[in-house]
Order: sequence, then structure tokens, then C-alpha cells
Amino acid sequence: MNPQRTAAVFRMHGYDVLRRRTVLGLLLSLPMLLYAAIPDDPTRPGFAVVLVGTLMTFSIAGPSIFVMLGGRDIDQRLGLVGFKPLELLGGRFALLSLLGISTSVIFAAVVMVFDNPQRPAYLMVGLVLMALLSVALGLACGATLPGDLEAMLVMIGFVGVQLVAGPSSAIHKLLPFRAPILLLYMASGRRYSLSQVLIPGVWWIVFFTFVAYATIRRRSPQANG
Amino acid sequence: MLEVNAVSKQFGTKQVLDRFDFTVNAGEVVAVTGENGCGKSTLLKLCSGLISPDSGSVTRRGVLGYCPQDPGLLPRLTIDEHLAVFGVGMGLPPRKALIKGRGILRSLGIPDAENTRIGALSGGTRQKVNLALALLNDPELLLLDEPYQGFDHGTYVDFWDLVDDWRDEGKAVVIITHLLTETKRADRLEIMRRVGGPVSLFDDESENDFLVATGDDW
Repeated sequence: MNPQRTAAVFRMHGYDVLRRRTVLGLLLSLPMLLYAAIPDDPTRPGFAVVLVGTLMTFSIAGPSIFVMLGGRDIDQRLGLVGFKPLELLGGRFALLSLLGISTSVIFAAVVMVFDNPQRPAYLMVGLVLMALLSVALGLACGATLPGDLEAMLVMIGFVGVQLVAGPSSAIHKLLPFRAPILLLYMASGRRYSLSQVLIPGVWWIVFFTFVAYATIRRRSPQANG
Repeated sequence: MLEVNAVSKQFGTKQVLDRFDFTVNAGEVVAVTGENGCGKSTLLKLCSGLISPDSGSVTRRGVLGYCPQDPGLLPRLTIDEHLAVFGVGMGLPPRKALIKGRGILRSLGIPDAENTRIGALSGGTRQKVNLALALLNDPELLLLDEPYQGFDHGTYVDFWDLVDDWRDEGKAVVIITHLLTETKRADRLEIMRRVGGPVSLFDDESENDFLVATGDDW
């Protein structure tokens, strides 16, 4: 993995993403607006934080999908001139993770001001894990699905089902966002085993990233001799 | 420089190429034409390594420059930003890639547009950028898939002057084309049929009416 080529991919997509100002603005503001609209519900402590944290997925997985789909055509040409699949993925993952973690910090600051969670460290870890998972999911959807509509719908499906299902349900345990959601509940005082929460979260990040890598590699010119 | 031996390629149930043979030598310019869907672009993708054949072999030598029909560039990035990224991939220092790329663009008739985003360019200018990126690493084998789409007539003629230069430099050049007005400047014109190998223009057994109508004598 050549750092210069990886950095070139980072810069290329950095320019591309940052120039989509309207989409970025909408993706960031939508979860914030929903957060502002959630009424106080003392019977469901911490739910507003979980909700906004999960909706943050849209703000991060959305650009990840655009980056991956937008790069599909140019990837083949870049492959011909020497870029390796790992460099193409690494540059994108690094850029999107930076954007995702920055977004997490913004969301964490807003939540700390308005909800004052009992354990802010869990809030931060939960949001960062949510961001990294969103990047990996977005990259996998963008790599494997045929278009942006399909990719966005699959991403919304994952998030929607995860939100609707309660943490004790069987389906919740099978879906990728369980780990960061439980961390966000832990920020509000609930107790779960930290290792049992973190390990599946990291596993899902590795899994989605591997799916994205394998797909880029399959399409790369190097794979065709 | 390029040798395609008995290559077959099928997409789904459609056989696009069937035991196809094709050779291009250094300092040779070959124009390839044929009806839509006969496999011209597939042939170039196979030659470049973008796709692999179902059977047969493709052997390439030398540095490759590939100009696809669809540039596939990022519309929000400028010309310079594309030159820099491609340059890094080719192992060129960014400054050298920019200087070289701008020189190629000037030779194609695009001066002072380096900071223009791809999305703001006309189709013809975008195609020139596409071509410039293929030329950036000084390739020895050039695979060009309808490289002059959107070019005005003057630029189209200039393009064939560049082809002459490339031949003189010893490059092997394959040009997919539908425009036959300047193809007499190629060393060889290969006509692809829907399935099967190329038929030489002056093959005595060829019964293609178009070939008679051109009347060009190489």
C-alpha cells in the first residue's frame, strides 16, 4: 500500500465530497432537525440520544455511498495507471472516517448541551463507533449495489429496522448497529458488558470493509492480468 | 506490442468475441471499425486488462495508455486535479504531471483551462482531457476507443496529425472509429463482424459493399 497513492485518493474524494455542499448540508441538518422535533418522554430515557445517534448514519453512510459509486468508473482507469484496490479503499476509508468522526463530535456536543447524558464517554465512543460503521456500510453498499437509489434504500433499511426493533429483540442482535446503539443507551445509565458490545461492532466494520475491498478488487484491472 | 490470440468473450448468452485474433506491432497504427455491438469496445477492454477473456490470451508489452469511450472522470474535480491524481498513479511527481499534462492539453487545443471543473467542460473538451490522461505516462501502446467524440473538424484532423507523430515515435496505436474520412492515415483498417475475427479491408474475399465504396487504395 503506497501512502502517496492512498493520499491522492483521499484528496480526490475530499474535493469531490466537500464540493457537494447542498447534499452535505441536508444530510447533516436532517438528523439535527429530527432531534429538535423529538418531544421529551420521561418513560423512555435516553431514546432521543439513541435516535439522533442512529440517524447520524444518514449523514455519514450517504456520502460514503456517493464516494464509492462516484468512483466506480474512474477506479478502473486508476487501476490501469497503478493504483491498488487497497489504496483506493484506504484513501476513501480514511477520508470518510475523518468526516464521520468530525460529525460525531458535532452531534456529541449538541447532545451534551441539550440532554446532559450521565456518562458522556460512552456517548462519544458510541457515536464514533456509529460513524465508522456507517462508513463501512456505505462503502459496502456503494461497492456492491447497482445504483445510488438501491444503496440508499438498503442503508435506510438497516437503520430503520434497527431503530424499530428493541434492544431485547432477536433481530436487533443480528443487525450491525446494535453495538453503537447499546453504547448510546449506556451513556444514559443502562448497563451492558462493554466487550460484548464492542466486539460485534468491530466485527461488522471489518466485514463491511472487506465486502467493499473484495468488490473493488474483483473489478480491478490487476484481477484480470 | 499487442497480441490477441483466439480470444472469446461472452456476456450472458451473447457471444461478443469468438476465437478472435489481432496483432499490433510497434510503430503501427490500426483503425478498428464495425457495426454497433460487434465487440470493438470489448476488444479494447480485453486488450487493456479491464476485463478478462473467457478463453484465449492477450499479451501486451510496454507502457499502456487507455482512452475509454466514456471518460468516467469526476465532474466536480478540475482538470489539474485529475492530472495530479493520474500522475501519482503513474509515479510522476505532481508538478511534473501538471506540466506534462498541460503541455498535452495545449497540443490538443485546450490552453488555460486547468482549473475548470470537468462538469463545466463541453463534451469535446472533456474528451480531450480523457485523451490527455491516456497520454500522460508517455505510453508505448495506445488503445483509443472513439477518442475524438465531440471534436470539431479541425481538431479531428489535428488528432490524426498527432497519430502520425505517435507512429514516428514507434508507438503501437489502436483506434476504434466510426469516422472513416481520415482512417486512410492508419496503416491498417480492421473491420469487425458481429462474431468472428477482423476482415482486412483489402481481403480479396471480402464482399463488404462499403469497402468497395470507399475506393481508398493503401
